[in-house]
Amino acid sequence: MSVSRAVACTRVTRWIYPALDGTLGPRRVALLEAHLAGCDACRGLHEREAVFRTRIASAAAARPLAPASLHARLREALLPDDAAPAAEPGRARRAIPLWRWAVALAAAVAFGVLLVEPLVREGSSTPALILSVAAQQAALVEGRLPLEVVSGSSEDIADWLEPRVGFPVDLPAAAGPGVDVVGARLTELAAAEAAAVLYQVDGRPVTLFTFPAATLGAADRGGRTVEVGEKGHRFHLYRLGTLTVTLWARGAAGYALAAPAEVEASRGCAVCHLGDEGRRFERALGAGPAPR
Amino acid sequence: MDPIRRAAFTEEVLRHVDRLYWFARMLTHDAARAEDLVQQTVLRAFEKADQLRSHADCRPWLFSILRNFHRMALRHEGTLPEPTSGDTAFATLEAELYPPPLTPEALVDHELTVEALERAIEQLPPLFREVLILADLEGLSYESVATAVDCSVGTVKSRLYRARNRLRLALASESTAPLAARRATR
Repeated sequence: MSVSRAVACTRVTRWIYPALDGTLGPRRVALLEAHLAGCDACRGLHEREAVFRTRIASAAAARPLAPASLHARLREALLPDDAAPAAEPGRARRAIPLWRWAVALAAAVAFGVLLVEPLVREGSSTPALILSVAAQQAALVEGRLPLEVVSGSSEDIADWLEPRVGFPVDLPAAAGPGVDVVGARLTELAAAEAAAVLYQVDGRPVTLFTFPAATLGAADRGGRTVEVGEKGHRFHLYRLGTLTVTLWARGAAGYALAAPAEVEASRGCAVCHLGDEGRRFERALGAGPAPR
Repeated sequence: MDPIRRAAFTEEVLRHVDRLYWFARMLTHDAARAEDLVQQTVLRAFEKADQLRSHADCRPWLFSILRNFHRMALRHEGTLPEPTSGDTAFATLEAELYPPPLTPEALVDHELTVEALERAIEQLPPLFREVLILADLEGLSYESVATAVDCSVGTVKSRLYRARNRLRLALASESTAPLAARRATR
């Protein structure tokens, strides 16, 4: 080995750590790469160091998780019942005027829509699933939960999700102009696996979460329930601050659609499996009280 | 805090519970104490949520809270570690001037289990242990590690350099130690 090569080796060897850390400047990275291309000894050192780090990271990936009881305790402590927004508490306790029942019944007859449980039940709280959905909608919009796949095609998104989740992926077709799919990511909702698909509806962010139907739990029995059409598509609507969350199940999958209040419910339902019956959803919402 | 932001913050913090727990376990060597530390950390984070900028990565902040609780407990017990002689500008210079030692081929060829890694990390001095975990296993940047352990970036580099070298030695001895001896040390 020549003296100049030895000196060069000593110098570039110092750069291996910061290079693998990603903190070496671009000029030195270029010099390092050029040197490694022609020096078996340094290339071997570099490769060994990289493999060693991978080994450590792989071993660390199997590190023990926190006990489930700790997760449950923290979740319970941080998402107490009083976290429920009870968007309109006064309204929740108000008696239902007879005329509203009459209007709802008339609407049901006219449009084949049956409105059930139109007002909030007294003392009820917002399910953890709804809070999770709201939280993640905010995180997605703010970029704190980055998308893992970006595509304007629902089919491409479904193809990407399908092998990555343990439940059937059946994304509704984005219906009509002004509704565009943006991308998706894997996530968790209420401690269960889920996928989040971000749409733009009339320029506003709307997120469709899909997960195993069992995740719906008690949330599938609360909120404002809306049944649409002869097939009896059933939706549960919750209002949390300025966000409306619509839940439904379809086969083995559950869905939660999070839409800001500025998006009209009927437009939000552009991605809720109703297809041609979407207008009935709009009429149902128009006829009844706001979701809680 | 409004309900959506509260829920968003909660979800963000709860996402990191497993990582906080492991960090706490590696600091305390005690599962029950680790649980207590994580619980204290998460609840304190929730109380101080307004201190966190909405778009910031909260991991350095959470690790910092956990570390402070741990150090408070050690101080109470009178076992708080002092900064080592490695925490000097000279040590930083040393890290920059001298090449890292070679990673033995045996370490590369040897299958590494999480138990072996934990045993090796436990042999490191506490101040080295925490920067190694945060930088190499949690993937935090030097700056984030510095925030988490309340020191300069130069000190992080210095401690990390030494921590990695010691980890190599510990793993090398781990891989060559007889199984019986390893069991005896558990």
